[in-house]
Amino acid sequence: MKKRLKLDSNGHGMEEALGRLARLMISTGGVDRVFIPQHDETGEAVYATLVADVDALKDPAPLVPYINGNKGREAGLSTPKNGENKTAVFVRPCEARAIIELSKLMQAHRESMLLITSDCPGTLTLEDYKRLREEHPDHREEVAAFYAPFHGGERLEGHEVRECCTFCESLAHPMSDIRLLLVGAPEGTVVVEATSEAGERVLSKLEMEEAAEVDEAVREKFTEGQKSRHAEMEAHWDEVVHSVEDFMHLVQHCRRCYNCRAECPICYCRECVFQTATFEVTPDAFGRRADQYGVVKMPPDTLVFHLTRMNHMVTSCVSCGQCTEACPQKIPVGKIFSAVGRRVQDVFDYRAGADTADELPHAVFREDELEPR
Amino acid sequence: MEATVEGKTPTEDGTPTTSQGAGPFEPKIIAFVCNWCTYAAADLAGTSRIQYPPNVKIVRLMCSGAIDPIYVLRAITGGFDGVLIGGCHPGDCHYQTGNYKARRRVTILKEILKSVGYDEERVWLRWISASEGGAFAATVSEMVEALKSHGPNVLTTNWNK
Ligand code: SF4
Ligand code: SF4
Ligand code: FES
Repeated sequence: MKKRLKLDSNGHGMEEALGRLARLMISTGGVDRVFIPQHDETGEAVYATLVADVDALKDPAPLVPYINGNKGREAGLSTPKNGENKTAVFVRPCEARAIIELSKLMQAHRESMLLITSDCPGTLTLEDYKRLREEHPDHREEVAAFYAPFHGGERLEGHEVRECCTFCESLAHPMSDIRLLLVGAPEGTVVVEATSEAGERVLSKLEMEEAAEVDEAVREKFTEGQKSRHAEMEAHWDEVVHSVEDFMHLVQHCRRCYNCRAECPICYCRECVFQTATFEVTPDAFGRRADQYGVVKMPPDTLVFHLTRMNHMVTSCVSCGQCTEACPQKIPVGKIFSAVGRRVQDVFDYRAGADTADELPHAVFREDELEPR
Repeated sequence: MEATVEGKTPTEDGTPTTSQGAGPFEPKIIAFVCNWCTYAAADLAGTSRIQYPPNVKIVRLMCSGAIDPIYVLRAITGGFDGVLIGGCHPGDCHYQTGNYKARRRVTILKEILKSVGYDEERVWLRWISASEGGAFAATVSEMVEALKSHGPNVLTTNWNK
């Protein structure tokens, strides 16, 4: 039985309770630093922060239903190698998945992290988040309202979460060190579970009440619902995409700004191939193409761009949907990459972000496999 | 949007072909072949005067493991109807593991192509050793026949890509 402790909001809100937990982790020497989202001074914006001084952890926002990008990448960039300084990293399931992929890609150091993942009801687009804040100007009330139905495995009505969140299959990530359980926990409380030995060591230093059980049936039901929505999403893809023209139709408004790639936590290359000479089209080449086809689209290579990005990273796509958020043309990039990613990952029996022990499909091979081609 | 050169399908290198319009459809194939095996096989087919269709243009790579999916994507959006990748038989790669890596890479590429609705059977990966000149010729003939039944590549004439 995993160690489970109860964290009460005591009327100060669940986020403040988690902030207290984070401060305690530093002051008891469990970790050196904490990576956690916080509100800025205006209380309107949310940033990921790396905190070394407990007094600087003023306005924690680990549950706010909005993320300013997949911060798995920043978590990776701000934790040193070799586990010399342990950092407690408070993230969402999609960010934890990104961290797991990035560690395999040697862009993050999972061993330096105390990975703390919360159950996530999904997050809102910035626009929708602002609307929620208008309804609940007090941040504590906003979080309380958003999470109240979530304890029972439901979502707040009238506030649609981002498309990729609707089919996100995991609650708090099972490969975390500590999980913050909200679904099936009594309203207004967080059940803090030591999921690994490292998590257990840190939690054992804290004086906290043992938790009563969480309702596993409610958790099960929520996850099943999410899985069936993922299956629906996949089935919908089959209905919509019959030919490559159908696919081209989906991305026809792409303006090749590369925002999707810039926001993708998995696209980490410093020099992206799309900005090298490989994709540079000289005036001569433009002219030649125009001569050949009679007409050439500008900028060209939309299809090659998306298919190449898929070739590079779709085996590691964690379905965070940040590419969709970034797209000025409202192309559902995250859904497209999730649908294609699932099919490609299935060939290798691979799930992006599931487990550090699973080998990246691109990085390994077996002598006896994949025949005939 | 149809091609401008009347009755002909344009290609990236500017060579007009008669793959559409005038005459029966003749698929254009680009073959990326390993220097140590399939390229030598193609050479052997030539020196042994084994007949095979002239539809294929050969690009020599040092190893099938040097195939970048971008080459394939460029080919299928740039006027070719099919792409053949040739490497050494498993266990025979001169760099030990290049062909195993190519096999994973091509598998991923083909699964992506299939997922986006593209006819992934236009891309072939085959193991043909240096002594298998006959097998090279037979593979090309087989591929030409197969592509004839698939018809012209939709991406050749579509400019909006
Ligand atoms: S492709 Fe989109 S959904 Fe997939 S990991 Fe990158 S940003 Fe997230
Ligand atoms: S963000 Fe949207 S418009 Fe920009 S390159 Fe990506 S898909 Fe195209
Ligand atoms: S050397 Fe021929 S496939 Fe590697």
